[in-house]
Amino acid sequence: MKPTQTHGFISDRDIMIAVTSNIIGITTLIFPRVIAQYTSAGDGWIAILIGGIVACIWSWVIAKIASSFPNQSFITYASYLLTKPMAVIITTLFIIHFILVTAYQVREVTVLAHQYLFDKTPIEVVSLLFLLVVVYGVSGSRAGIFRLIVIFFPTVIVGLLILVVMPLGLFKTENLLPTFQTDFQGHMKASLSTVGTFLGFSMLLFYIELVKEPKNTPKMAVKGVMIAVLFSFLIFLICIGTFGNATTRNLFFPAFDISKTVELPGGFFERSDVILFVIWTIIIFTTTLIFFDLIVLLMMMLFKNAKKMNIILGISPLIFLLSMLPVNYIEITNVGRFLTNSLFIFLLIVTILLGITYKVKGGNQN
Amino acid sequence: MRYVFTGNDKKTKNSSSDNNNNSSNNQGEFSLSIEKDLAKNLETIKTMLGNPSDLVVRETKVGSTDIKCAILYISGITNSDLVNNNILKAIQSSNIQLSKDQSNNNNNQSSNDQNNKQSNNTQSSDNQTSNNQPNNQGTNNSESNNNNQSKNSQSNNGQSGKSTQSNPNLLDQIYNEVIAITDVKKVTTLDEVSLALLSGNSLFLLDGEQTILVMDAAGSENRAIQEPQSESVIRGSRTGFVENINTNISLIRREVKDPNLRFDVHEIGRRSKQKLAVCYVAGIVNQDILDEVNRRLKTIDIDFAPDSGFVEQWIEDSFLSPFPQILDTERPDKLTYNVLQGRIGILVDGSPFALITPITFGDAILSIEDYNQRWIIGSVLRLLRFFAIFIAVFLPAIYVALISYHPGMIPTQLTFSIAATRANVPFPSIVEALLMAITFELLHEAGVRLPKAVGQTVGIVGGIVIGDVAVSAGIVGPATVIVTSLTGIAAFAIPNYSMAVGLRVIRFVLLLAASIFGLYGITLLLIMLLIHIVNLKSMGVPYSAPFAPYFLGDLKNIFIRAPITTLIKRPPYIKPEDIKKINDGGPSSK
Amino acid sequence: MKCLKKVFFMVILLLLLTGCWDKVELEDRAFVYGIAIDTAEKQSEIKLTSQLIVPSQLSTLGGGGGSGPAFRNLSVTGETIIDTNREMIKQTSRVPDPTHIKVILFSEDIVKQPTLFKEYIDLFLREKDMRRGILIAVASGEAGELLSVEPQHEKIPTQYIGRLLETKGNLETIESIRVGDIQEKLLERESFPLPVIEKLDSKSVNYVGIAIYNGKKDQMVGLLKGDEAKGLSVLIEEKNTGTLNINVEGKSSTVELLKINHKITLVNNNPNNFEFKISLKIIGTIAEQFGNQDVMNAEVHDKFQLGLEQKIHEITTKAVEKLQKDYKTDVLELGPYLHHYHPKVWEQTKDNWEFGENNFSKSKINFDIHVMIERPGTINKTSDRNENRQ
Repeated sequence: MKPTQTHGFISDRDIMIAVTSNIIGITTLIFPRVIAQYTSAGDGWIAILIGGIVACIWSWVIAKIASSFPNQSFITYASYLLTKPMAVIITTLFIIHFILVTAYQVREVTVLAHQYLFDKTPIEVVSLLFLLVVVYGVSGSRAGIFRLIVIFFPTVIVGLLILVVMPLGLFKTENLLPTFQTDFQGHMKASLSTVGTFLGFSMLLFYIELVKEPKNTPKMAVKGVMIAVLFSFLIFLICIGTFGNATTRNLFFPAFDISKTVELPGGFFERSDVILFVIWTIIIFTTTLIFFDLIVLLMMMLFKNAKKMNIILGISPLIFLLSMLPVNYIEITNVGRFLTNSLFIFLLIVTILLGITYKVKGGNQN
Repeated sequence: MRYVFTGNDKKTKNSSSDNNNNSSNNQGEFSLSIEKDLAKNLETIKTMLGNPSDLVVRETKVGSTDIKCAILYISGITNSDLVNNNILKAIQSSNIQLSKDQSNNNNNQSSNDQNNKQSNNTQSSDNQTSNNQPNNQGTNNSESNNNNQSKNSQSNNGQSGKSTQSNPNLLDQIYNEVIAITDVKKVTTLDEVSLALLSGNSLFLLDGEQTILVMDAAGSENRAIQEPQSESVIRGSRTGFVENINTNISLIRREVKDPNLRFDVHEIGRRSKQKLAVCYVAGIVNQDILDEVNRRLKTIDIDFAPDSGFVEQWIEDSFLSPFPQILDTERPDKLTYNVLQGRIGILVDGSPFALITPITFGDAILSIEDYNQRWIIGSVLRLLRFFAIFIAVFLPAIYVALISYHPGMIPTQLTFSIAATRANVPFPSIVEALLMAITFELLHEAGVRLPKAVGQTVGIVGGIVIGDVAVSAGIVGPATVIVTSLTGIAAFAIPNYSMAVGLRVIRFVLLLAASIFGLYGITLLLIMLLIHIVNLKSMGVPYSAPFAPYFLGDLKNIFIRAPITTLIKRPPYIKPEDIKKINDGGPSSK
Repeated sequence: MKCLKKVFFMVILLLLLTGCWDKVELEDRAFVYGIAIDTAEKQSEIKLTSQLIVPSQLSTLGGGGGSGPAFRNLSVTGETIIDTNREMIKQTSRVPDPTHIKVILFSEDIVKQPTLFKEYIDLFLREKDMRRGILIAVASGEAGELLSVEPQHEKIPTQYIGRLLETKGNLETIESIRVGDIQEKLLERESFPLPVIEKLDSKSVNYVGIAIYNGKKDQMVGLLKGDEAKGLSVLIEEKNTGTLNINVEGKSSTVELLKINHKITLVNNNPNNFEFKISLKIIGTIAEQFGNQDVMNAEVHDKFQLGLEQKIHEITTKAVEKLQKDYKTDVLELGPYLHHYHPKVWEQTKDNWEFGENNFSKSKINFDIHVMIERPGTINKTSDRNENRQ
């Protein structure tokens, strides 16, 4: 009916959903363990709240800057605020980061599948299949990607609700006690790593150009972050309440094991992890899809004449090879930590730079 | 003239007819234009059609005059009663009288002279014959004169100087007063003549006249309106479309008395010349979509469309998709409902299946009966249908995945009992499932093809042999039989046949994926399917609407069927010009 | 592009051809249903008995079915469990599948040795196919023997044992213990009770009592039976209830407990002299009386309540005494209570709770028992005349 548009085909709500979907990802599976390591009993909720608030403010700042340049690409407004070379450098760094993140996600899916489904199936095959599906998703239209995210959203929410509600029978309030026994340092560390898990909102920098009327976008972006924070909060509490702090620390994917705990006697599936494995795959797929699409988006900003398919086909083998690099789970964990930390610092610098120049130069001068 | 006319041998059958033709036609060819001479024209038509045996040619004289005329029609597709009573009888018994000079040919006269003469003649004849309507005469005459004038000049141009004029006023008179049929057209080209004749119209040829009257007396044997075969409902209209497009249009007309109900007529089929009607309500329909539909319809270039399916496949957005992007229905009420929602209906002559577009995934699984039932029942049925779709698509795949990969997820007792029943089965579960699924499809296909009386046999054979003996012979496990039959039954709960067939295809792919990668394969394929759906469009409308783009208000009409009074809007994703369907003065208030 | 599509299809085709790495058909798996772990003759080795399902014997359909037992026990010795498990493959024709393990039995010998239980349970938590809901029990005597009883209600011994462990209604038993719970306890180094069962005869298994596992010493330190077990049950159980025999005016009566609420409060927080108050609120119903009291009479009713209260006091004191004095093990969850509600106090005492200073044994435990007999059953008394004669 209408020709494919490059701008203004998504709404505020789509951005909200995309933010939530991008934040809830592989890190959500792991983070209860990380938080539990730094805090005692159920105290992690404070860290999640603090981290959540920080993430909300941060995402609001980013969304505010980006939305004051409506329908302008990141490189355009970054060139305006900073300088052209700076913008190019930042974009390149983002591309590199996103490539690494995509590779990491692809590998984590394999880890998850091997943790719970497969023994002998080679990791290469599991990753390759996943990557192929992601490539198929990215090769579609960008509007299609957003539609896909929107379609998955209720599934993800319902899945997470199942995850939260099902173990309630095993929930023991005593496990959350004693409260407020964590020292300041523990809270700090936990808060920082919480913010690290919420960094998915970085995609706001690039996607706001697609929003039709980005006036309300900062608000919706914050809402999106808040939904993610809420779910992280619930998942953490449920993990601690069901397992206790000590066990949570020692589980590889606590948020997944929680579904293994529950048995449904009399059900067609005795274990709810069937459903949740599907949902986690979908969640990780969504995140990976967004990151891959961001790579394409940014690459097309840098190389204006490049064809989308060529970029995708050029990048995919690289991602696949990168995802095969870590040899064991220790390396994978380290890679994950490194990626989070580097993005944290990098995004902070970018935000500060953009923020200051934005204050000085003001928005939308075009 | 693109036609290949086969009849080259020219025979003069009617030797009794006077041959006053001035223009000389040589042997071996017939003229591609209509001449003045009746016999010649008849010959031309006969030759063009290959002198068919079902062509009825009746030559007679107009009223009590000596002017020859002929009535032509093709028996079988024309209502001969109508021709006999309203045309032949009327012409023969008409009291038309003519002055002598008019019956002769006026040769080599200039057109100006002709016109003068014509007008005089007409007036005189009118005065002679009809005294009833003196007031209207003047206007009538001038109109007809003008018509004649233009037509004559056209034909003159075509015939390069030679002009054999007769009395056009006689034809007009017959046109106006004698023929008791409402739909009469004047036709001057052979192309139109052949189309009209082959469409079941009857022709009236007047000697010395280059204009032929085409009278709509079409009346072939039609199937009576019956209950739709593929979409029967318990509560709802029993009317189904038939093959005749006019009947079908009338069925819609009968339900919607809105002056904005439009039928844009196209012609498809290079040889079949079928009528195709695009049905919509102006003021509701989105003009962009309508233009797109019309544009695509114009691109159709085929010989013949035996069914609307040809049209569907020609104009659909993606031919690689297993999902129907255009809905077919046999039910006029369904078409009407959808047209009033702002969608576009397409009727094709010869097909009892009308097309509806644009549609979304949700539309393909709705039944019109949901709206006829009370809303709670409708909602429950909807939910049941979603469940049925899930089973129809995923159950065999999940079964195979669980059996071959993840037995830990089946309840313990069930695992043991399935293991017990499968202990002697020689095949792996995927082979078993495929075997049963293919058998089921075979039974289904055979059941469709066989006559109804034999069809039951297939059911019995299938039920007993496959279901029972195969299990007791240890070829398949009973669990597989249960899964297969459940899947089969669930597939029949999908209201739209094209959708059901599409989902059946997907089921097999899923089955393969499950056998290779278990649950992981199913998940990935599910994601791929969804990627496909979100990128799919129907006439430019996203196929995944209203799930995404998110139209929360419309979801209450997909998952459940909210009370009628709450469904106040037309589907927003097809962007109708008039979005409200309740409390807003109706569609004509635009 | 066309070339790429071809490559894509080739890859898919290749995957199709080489796929199915993890595929093992249901009928090719040997489902392990129960596991029993015993000490082997050789030190440092263990004897593992696995109960495998023989599905064709379970079948109710024609063909096969019926004649032999529906299970097959395999005993292997080895150093670690997984090692032994793999050893088993030598004997089975099928791949052992641990996804449906229902019960794991540890012989008393193993649980009584320090740290051994903890080491062996690691596998059941680590292995991805294992459920966290596997039941754990201690077998008095040879654990492997228990798997060879021939139950009459069920077809498979494990099923029988599993049901036995899950059945509620007797105070001498405790709620079933799942492997997931154990992990929490072990990680927190808390003590916990375990059910103990023994083979009664060739057809039945008996629930002996409650084993006390000391989280600090990582071994089983004792066994509560009879009234002691009942006392412990009353103190820690909520869902699992049962009956108590009481004495009312010289005649035995039985009261069924319907609901037990307990609440711990710390009265004195001096580490060397802790004082706890355990409030019990119990609702019961008269199940049986040998005497012929008029239960509608308020006085009689009070007598019943008093009798029950005394009984409960008696058994709980017995149990607590045993735990404090003999076993020095806190399965009453007083330690976790301190940890959760009085974290500062716990910090001071946690290293001296169950050993060292043994503050648990030193602490004073009071009971505050409220009994309410809610219903008398459906009748008042069985016969009037009987009473008149008395």
